[in-house]
Amino acid sequence: MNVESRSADDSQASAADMLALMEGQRRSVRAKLDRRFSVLLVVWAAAWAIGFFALWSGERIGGNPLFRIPELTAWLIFGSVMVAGIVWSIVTGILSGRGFRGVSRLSGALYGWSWSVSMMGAGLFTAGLQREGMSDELAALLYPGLFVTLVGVLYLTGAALQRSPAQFALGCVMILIVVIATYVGTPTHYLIYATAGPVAMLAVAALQLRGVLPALVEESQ
Amino acid sequence: MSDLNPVIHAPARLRIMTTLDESLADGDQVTFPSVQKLLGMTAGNLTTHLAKLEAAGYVEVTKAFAGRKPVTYIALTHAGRDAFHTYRKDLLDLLGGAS
Repeated sequence: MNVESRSADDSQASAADMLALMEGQRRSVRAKLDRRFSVLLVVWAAAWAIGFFALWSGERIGGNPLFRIPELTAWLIFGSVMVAGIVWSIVTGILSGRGFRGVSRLSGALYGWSWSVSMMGAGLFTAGLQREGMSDELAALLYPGLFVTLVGVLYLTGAALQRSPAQFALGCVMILIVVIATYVGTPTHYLIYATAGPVAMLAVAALQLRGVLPALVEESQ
Repeated sequence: MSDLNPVIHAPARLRIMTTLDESLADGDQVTFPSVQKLLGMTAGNLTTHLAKLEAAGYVEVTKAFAGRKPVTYIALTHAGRDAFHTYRKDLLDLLGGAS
């Protein structure tokens, strides 16, 4: 082997090492930055599993063949875990900006508030429809359907904001779940929301924690 | 074969540039302790390498105050981001050319 070709080999080995170092660091940073959001996904997965399972087990409204709980209790459990999820989301949004300043901080804060505004708006909107005489059967489909559609849309928006194809995929899955659950109808739709949603969220959280769900890398230069 | 940018082609500085490129959008800044946490580097080591990157015009270091507490912010300049992306492309070209 002559000196020139050996030097070229060394340079290539070094280049491979540097590429591996770059990829390793990128994953490490991504995992650290996303850790709070991964935990948030786990929290939401638990909230969905508990809340929708409670509705599926509610007297009159549910379909659980093994046991039933009073309808009011089911709605209280559902409401409590959803409120807990929203509060956790707001706290996560506030803490995630620590150590950073600039345009992303403002867009992150606005995005965080868009969750609470849209959820409250959806709640009041459906309550208004019920006041105008919407049937209980329709409300049972509309409440979770609208709520989960909004979650899906907010994931799609978040994906655009954070350049995250994984989050975009999760948003698409949420909207698909709404379509399937609504076509399946009551009361089985609650069981679909209690299982399919949390599984999708936990899968994304697990991949995020390992840093293997990258934001879109800009290759334009 | 294109020459790899010697300012970035050092493990510590490559890790710093990767971290800033991944965590900051244009116009964003991050505090010195946050970068240190993301990198797991000592303050002295980080300061040394940041000084080299700053001298090349790739990062901008700003001193500010949060109340009475001094805070050091770090930003990736446009030139820095361009240089990093060019370095990455050169690296991939070099490895692609090897096969």
